[in-house]
Amino acid sequence: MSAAPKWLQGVARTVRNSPRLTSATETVFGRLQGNRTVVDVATRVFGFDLAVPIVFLRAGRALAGMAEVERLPVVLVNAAGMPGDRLTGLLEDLEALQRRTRGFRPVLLLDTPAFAEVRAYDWPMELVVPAADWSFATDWDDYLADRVAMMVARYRAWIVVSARTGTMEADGCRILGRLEHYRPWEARKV
Amino acid sequence: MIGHIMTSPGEPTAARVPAAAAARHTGGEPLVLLMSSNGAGMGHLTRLLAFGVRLGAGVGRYVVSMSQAVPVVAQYGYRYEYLPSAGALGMAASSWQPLFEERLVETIGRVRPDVVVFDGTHPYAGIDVARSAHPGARWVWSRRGMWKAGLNADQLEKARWFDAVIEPGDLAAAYDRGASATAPARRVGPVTLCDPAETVPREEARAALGLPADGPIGLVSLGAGNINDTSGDVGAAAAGLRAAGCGVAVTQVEIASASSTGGVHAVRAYPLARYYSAFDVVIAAAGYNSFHELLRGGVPSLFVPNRSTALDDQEARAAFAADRGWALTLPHLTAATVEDAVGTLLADGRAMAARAVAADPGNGAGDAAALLRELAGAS
Repeated sequence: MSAAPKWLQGVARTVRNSPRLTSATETVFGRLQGNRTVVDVATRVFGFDLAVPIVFLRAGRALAGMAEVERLPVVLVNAAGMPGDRLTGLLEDLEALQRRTRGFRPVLLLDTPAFAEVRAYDWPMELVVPAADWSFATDWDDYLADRVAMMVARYRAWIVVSARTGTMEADGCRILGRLEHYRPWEARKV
Repeated sequence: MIGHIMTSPGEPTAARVPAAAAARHTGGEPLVLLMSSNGAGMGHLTRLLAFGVRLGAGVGRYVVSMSQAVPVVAQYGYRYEYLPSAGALGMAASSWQPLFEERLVETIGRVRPDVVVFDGTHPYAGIDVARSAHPGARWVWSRRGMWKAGLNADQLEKARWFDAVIEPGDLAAAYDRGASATAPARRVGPVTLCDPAETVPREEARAALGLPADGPIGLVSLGAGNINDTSGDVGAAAAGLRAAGCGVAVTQVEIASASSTGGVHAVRAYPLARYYSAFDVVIAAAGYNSFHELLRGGVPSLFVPNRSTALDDQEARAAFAADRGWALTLPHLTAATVEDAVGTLLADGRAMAARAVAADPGNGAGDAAALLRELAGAS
């Protein structure tokens, strides 16, 4: 990902720090985004295939050097509650699948702070409070569901694959495997 | 060779933080949420811990951090949550900000702290939203100084999001030319997690870190680098230390294990400041925490300012210490300049650092913690 030029960063900072400019910008952008013709032109100009949202996110060491990784589907791997001794195997399996398909980017959700282990693969990860440590008024399962929903929305995840038992559930794993061949993000509009 | 120890200063954890106190309001006591932004190293988190351990009894602590080093707070008995930074995710700022805001609003609503302390130089948009959504908490901005001249001034306006601004003092404040230097704040003395009285004796420190009991040893704490490449700072530091007759220790296992000559000790401990007595000289960057921990601890130091920081004016901080005769500074290292500097520090370093100790107004963390207790309504 190349950095924006300094003048553009300065403009963005000015807009962000000015409530008035931010409001005006949101209004303008909102109208542009709501305009079917403008969106259609932008889609063609930038070659977007909206089947897979474009998201800038760490892709993983297995995809190092691969061009346009921001076009690959983001996959949420929910491993909250998995037995700790299964983590190494899960990460190895996930990387093998990613290396073979070159067709997705995982974001991991864990309840143990295995930062170093996940960082070694250069994948993003999130952490939830373990169920055993839960002391809040709300239900832990609702908390976990809320977090998954937030992650799906904010990372624009294409699919959620559960690995809460320590291995990826079969259907999700099979879908990821098919991304070796089904690659709608590679379709060009122009 | 790896010595690894995790300890906390002061009283044993169980005595300092009852388990219930770390969770939300189950015991009805005031709760302080310590929130750190992400930066180079562990500076933000360590400053917050300095406040946390001095909050005293009857106040709960809860940590929310963007640092992946956040599990260290567990050794203090504090519960924690991790909120990934844009950098850790590789995400564009415009995409990350809504994630941050959403997560913060959810966390504050669930944890329901009485006081939120944000340590960072850039309060993120979303803090204002979280505050509006949950108006019950008092918000405090812990904002260290020594900003590079002309940078970040627009952030000062965000002081209006907070009920109080605490500025941890800087021994080099006289050289502070940054925008925050004259901004209103509650200024306290330089903040460090450890006080000098917590430093363990040299023999004990050497044993705890797995270092030889005898002979001079220099610590190199300059971040990443190739220890075999003497054209870089890390390699030059190691070569210079050896030439001066010192053993070499580093803070990163990867650096030690990459040594082609071997004999490099990897030391890992948190907080490492408790064990600085193990070293005869330290070669370090001039970040806020290292700088103050080393000088407050009377450690002979060679500062190599990291000039690639976004905001922290490490050159000014290191220059001040050198001008006062407290320490040495070099902009770049060669084996020859390090050998020369280490020779000076082995001969005069203790006396030099003693001048800094004499000028130290004392740890400001206690004053900051007192303010937090007051805001939390703790008796």
